[in-house]
Amino acid sequence: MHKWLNQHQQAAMLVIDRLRQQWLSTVLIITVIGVTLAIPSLIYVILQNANTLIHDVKQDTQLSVFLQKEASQANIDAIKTHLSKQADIAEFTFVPKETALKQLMETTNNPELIASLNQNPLPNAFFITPKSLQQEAMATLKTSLQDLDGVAEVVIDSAWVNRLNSILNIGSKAVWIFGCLLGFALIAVISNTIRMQILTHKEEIEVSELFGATQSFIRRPFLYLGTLYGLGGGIIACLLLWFILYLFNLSVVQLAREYASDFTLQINFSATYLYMLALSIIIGWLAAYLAITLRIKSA
Amino acid sequence: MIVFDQVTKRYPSSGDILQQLSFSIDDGEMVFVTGHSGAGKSTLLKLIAAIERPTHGTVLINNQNVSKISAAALPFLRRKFGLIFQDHKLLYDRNCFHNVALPLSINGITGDEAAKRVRAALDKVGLLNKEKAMPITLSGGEQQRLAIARAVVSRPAILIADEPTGNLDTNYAADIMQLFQAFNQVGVTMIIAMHDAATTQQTANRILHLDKGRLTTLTQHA
Repeated sequence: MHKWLNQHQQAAMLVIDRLRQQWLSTVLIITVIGVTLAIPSLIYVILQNANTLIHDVKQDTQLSVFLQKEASQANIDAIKTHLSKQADIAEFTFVPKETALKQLMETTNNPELIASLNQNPLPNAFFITPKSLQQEAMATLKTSLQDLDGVAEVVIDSAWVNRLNSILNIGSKAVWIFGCLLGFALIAVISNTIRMQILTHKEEIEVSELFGATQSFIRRPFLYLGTLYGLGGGIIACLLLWFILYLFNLSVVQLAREYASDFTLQINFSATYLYMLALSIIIGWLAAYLAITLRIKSA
Repeated sequence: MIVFDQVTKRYPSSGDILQQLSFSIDDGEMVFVTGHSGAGKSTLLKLIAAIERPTHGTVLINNQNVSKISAAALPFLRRKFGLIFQDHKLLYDRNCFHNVALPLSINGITGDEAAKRVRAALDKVGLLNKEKAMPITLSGGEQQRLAIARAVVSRPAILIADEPTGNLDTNYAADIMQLFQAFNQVGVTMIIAMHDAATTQQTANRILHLDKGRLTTLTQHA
């Protein structure tokens, strides 16, 4: 056990020493790894945040029930009683068409235009906040309300949210594919760098084999090299991601304030960074393993 | 003990390099392999060191059949040998000390124990004062002695030297032969390939003479 530890320590020290000697190429390769990892991670984080944002918006989702113009007061009362009996409705409000018109006149910049209308174009409406925000539950509620007497149309206000949600789902699928492709590219790049290192140390490997070095003895420093490249790249990726999000956040906070929101780009710090670091190390190790195995096979 | 039984080595490109060799080398023996270049001396040494495997026949090293040894066991067989090459095969990216330390680190020996043994080996070949020097700064004879220090540092039972004095002038060559004899006297089996017979004639050791891949004379002095 002591001997085994000793051999690992020795290999690690050797590699760190070599990395220090070739610090420029080390910096270059870990920058490549860092940037390549940071790009899909950044897109991922932005999509995650968009999802949270949408979720927040969805909380204020309402169903709008517009009544027919010819609906009588009796119809309205009947609907009122019906709604108050529904278990899946959290609350509802009734907005008569006169009130709606008044609100419209208050918010529009062209009240004269509305005043010139000889007839109120707006219908009576109920605004309903359902208990469940599930798409299916909302759909069921919508159909049940549609059949009531005097109802012209039921509109789920979150329809656009759902559509955006679908787009984001496509986006996150795309980011996974993009990430996988970049992962393969990284493996290729690191493998190639390590292959160069193997070529540089060709004589050492040859002599070591002649003096009875085992395959794992020969592999070990290169596996450490790959792992350290991965670690370095991962750290750079974390720093880049943190810095870019920090810059973004400055503008996002400002924008959110305009919308009277306290939204900021959130990142589940420890987890996302740790995943990225672990992934980077795994990629580095794998690339090194690939390179050294190919060289042993070809020798 | 090394035993060759009807050993033939054939390379696809150049035909039979060695044909039907049978001989044995006892523990603690000092044996010279002679012959013209291309006679198969290097191939013979490579077969002993398990760098090559025979096409036909068997090579036994301490009753281990080299042709049947698994790839995983091969490194451990190799550790029984100290190898010295005509072109030294030194590593020029590190100093003398670290060149000699390489076989020890392969054997898992590091730290103070390794340093002690490296210095002992360097001392034996007279290079103790050059431990920090880079091999490229050494003369040809010094480089060869450094290679010898590296070959003996892990105390192998068998030393195999392929034309160790091939590139050296006579003074250096005599130095190195004296070193080899000293190792042999403490019980190391020595197998030395020699291009020029002159050096070997002064010694009272067995000579395996190769001619076009065949063993022609098996001189047994003493």
